Amino acid sequence: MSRGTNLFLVFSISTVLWIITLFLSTGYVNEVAKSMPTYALILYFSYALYKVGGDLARIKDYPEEAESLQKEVQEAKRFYQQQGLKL
Amino acid sequence: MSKYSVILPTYNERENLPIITYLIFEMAKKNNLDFEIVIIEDNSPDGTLQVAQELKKVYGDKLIIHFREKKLGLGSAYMDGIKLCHGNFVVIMDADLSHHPKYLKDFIEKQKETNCDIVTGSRYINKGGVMNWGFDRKLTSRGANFLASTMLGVKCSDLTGSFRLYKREVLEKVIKDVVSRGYAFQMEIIIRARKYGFTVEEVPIVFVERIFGESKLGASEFQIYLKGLWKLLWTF
Repeated sequence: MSRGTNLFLVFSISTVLWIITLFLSTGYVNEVAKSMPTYALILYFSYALYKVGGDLARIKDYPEEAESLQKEVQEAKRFYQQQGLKL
Repeated sequence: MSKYSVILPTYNERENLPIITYLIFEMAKKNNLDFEIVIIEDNSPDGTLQVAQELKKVYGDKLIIHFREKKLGLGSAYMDGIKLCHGNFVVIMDADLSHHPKYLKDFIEKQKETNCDIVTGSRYINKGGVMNWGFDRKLTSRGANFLASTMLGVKCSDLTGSFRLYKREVLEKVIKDVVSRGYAFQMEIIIRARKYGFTVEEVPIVFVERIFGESKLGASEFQIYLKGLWKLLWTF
């Protein structure tokens, strides 16, 4: 079974169970059931914010890498000049 | 002693090719490693082939050039490249200097330490990073990786990365089944590798946005990525 089929099945079964709960439940349980889809979306996006946001906050820029690469480019050019290459 | 083959697909890289070649062989010399480079040149209009032929005068048999009449894509470049490799390990990387060869030493050490089948460079783990990327590019890239890893259920911090070291037989086995193109191609390789039971380790790299030449990325890349991701959902 593919991942897509798996996800589709989980989503379909969850939706059916949610609809059944919505129609058969009363009172507090019914109130909670109504807000489950919103809650699920908020959970997913909160997780996304935590993972993506956290990584974006942590990922560093490395200006020294760009500078060092520029020096290496010059070093390489000098090497090829010494070899007599016309590039 | 292990031998390492680097497959370098090139298209309009006349300025970057001499530099990346120099950096790879300097790294190999400093670390006493046996390296060769296989250039897959897709008939670039800017004269990249002529540059490669000049470089062969310096590097001799350590530089192998394979010319193709037109742009045939990365997948076929790797498949053609593997046939010409003599190494028992294969490195795939970009030729535009965004992947610095100095990290190959770390890749090799990680592979020896763990005996893993694949080592992949990651921008998103501790000590990894980027340079010359705006916030929107960082957000798009990290967001795309997050979407792919949650939808596909794959644990890999940098699924779309293309800087990797493979055991030769692992790449040979995995690549012949790959059907995706673009970013999804790199993702599919990791997914297939895991399905086959191959082990993958990560090493931090700093990705420096290209300094010479034009990027081949465009707005359509994101569309291609989403289509590729959708296809992968139904493949595995």
